Amino acid sequence: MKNKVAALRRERGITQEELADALEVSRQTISSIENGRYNPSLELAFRIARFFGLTIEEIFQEDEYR
Amino acid sequence: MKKQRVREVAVFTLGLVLLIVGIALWENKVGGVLLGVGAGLMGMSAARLYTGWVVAKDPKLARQVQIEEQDERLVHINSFAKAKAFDFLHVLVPPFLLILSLARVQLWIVLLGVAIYVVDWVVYFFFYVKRTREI
Repeated sequence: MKNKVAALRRERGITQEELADALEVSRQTISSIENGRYNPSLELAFRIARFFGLTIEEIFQEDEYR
Repeated sequence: MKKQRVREVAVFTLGLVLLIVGIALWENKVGGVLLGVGAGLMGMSAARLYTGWVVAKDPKLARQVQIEEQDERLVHINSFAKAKAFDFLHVLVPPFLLILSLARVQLWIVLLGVAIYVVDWVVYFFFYVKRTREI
């Protein structure tokens, strides 16, 4: 799963700590999501989408089938 | 939070009672065991009470602790580690029980080990079925 969380966060000029605080998760979780090491639950994906005012599909994209 | 504090105070009191009984029965074989268990319970609950007290004084720290307890990634990591530990234990226990029986250890000790092993699997299947029905 690919995502635009890091790009959106930088675009809005907020730090990982601030985003983590707003989403009530740890900073490490934000870092892992941004690096693609961890795929968030549907609930957290909705919270992220709501935070950025976008839909889940606009932030998260499925990796192309190989 | 208050409920947890009451529980910790109860555990601390129980530890204190066991410690006193352990000292009173010092000459007896059981005395040392009671003293050890009592001291352990007291230490554990005292540490938890102190942590709770420190966290309660600092709202920022309290929020941080709450976030870390509920953070889905950390919960996932914790569950994963527990699952791996369960798998590892179930690889280790059967050969250990076999070694015990070959070493001609008293039968009740081997049977106790087997019973613990079986109970662990029963608990696993209980939660497996329960969770399957829930989700």
